[in-house]
Amino acid sequence: MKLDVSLLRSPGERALPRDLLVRDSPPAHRPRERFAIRVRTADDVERLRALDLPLFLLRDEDVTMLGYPMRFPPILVAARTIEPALRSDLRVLTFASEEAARNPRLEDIVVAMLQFDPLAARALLERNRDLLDLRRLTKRVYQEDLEQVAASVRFHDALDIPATGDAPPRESIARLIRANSPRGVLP
Amino acid sequence: MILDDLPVICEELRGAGIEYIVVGGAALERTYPIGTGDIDLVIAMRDYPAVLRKLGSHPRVRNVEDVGTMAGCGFRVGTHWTDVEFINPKLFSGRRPPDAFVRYVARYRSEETDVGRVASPEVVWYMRLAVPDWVIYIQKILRDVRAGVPPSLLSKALEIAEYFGNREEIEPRVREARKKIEMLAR
Repeated sequence: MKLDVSLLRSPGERALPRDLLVRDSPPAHRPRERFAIRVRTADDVERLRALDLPLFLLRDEDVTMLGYPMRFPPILVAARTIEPALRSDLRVLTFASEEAARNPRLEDIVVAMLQFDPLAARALLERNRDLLDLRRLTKRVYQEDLEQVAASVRFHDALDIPATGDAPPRESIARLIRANSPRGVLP
Repeated sequence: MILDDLPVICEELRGAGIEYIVVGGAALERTYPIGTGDIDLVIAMRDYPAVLRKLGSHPRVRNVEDVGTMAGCGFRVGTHWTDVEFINPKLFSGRRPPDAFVRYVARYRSEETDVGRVASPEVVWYMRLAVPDWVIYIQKILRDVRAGVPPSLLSKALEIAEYFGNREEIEPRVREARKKIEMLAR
């Protein structure tokens, strides 16, 4: 599938600069069919991913697997470019990076969590430092314009991002995170 | 450090007549530098009560705590204490009797070493994926992969599941592990 972008006139708009906004109609007699993306289940997401669409499902299990046990309904993470075409009852988060939405890496789970639950994102950073590519994570934080959120949970302790004055003390964040540790039947 | 403690602890256990197979991170550590901090041993279900009694009266053992699926304790090695966990096999035997797991690992998926029987790496991953809260062990599998354990071991873990009749249950978990390994490797 490929993304097709066009502009539509808003109801109040009359005169348009025709030299800048040119008519972009499909060839006569060969109208192209337009598709929206309907996502209802996790399986839908897998099938859409197989069509190379830039989206993935973020589940509570994904976060638990990285050492921070959580429960939340699945969240659809999609490239911002396809958001207007999405039809879904799931909560949707968007990424500026299409590549990250198409082929998410562990750092992208942290970035998505920054948008949904910054404290959980901080816990993931702390508990997976050895597994995460910190340089890539830094780049991704900037790419998604999340420096302020990241600084609010002290990502600057581990990443090269600017600190903000109103970040809570390191100890209070650590205490909150410690309260949610995975405990399994195996050692 | 764990590899230094292992011979001492194993010698004591053999002296006390306790039969075991080394599993968990300590089993992996012999081949891959994963940096585990404790020692996990699987023991037969039929021996479990007797082993707990022996541990309770062993002079180098303290704080024996039985949580049903396993018993943890501190084992004195020289001047320090090392955590040792004795795992019973009932969570891992699938549709077979609990001790079938110990017999299977002893016969097909382990090697005899200077510290006694040590499980093959795929057994460690199978055990992590066979427990009800397998989700939290994916992170350990990712760390193992980072330390050089080949992801192809997941296929061998599935072979073990096949033997114990719980492949249907384990297969989606293996798929999840593969996805996360992919995310790590991209």
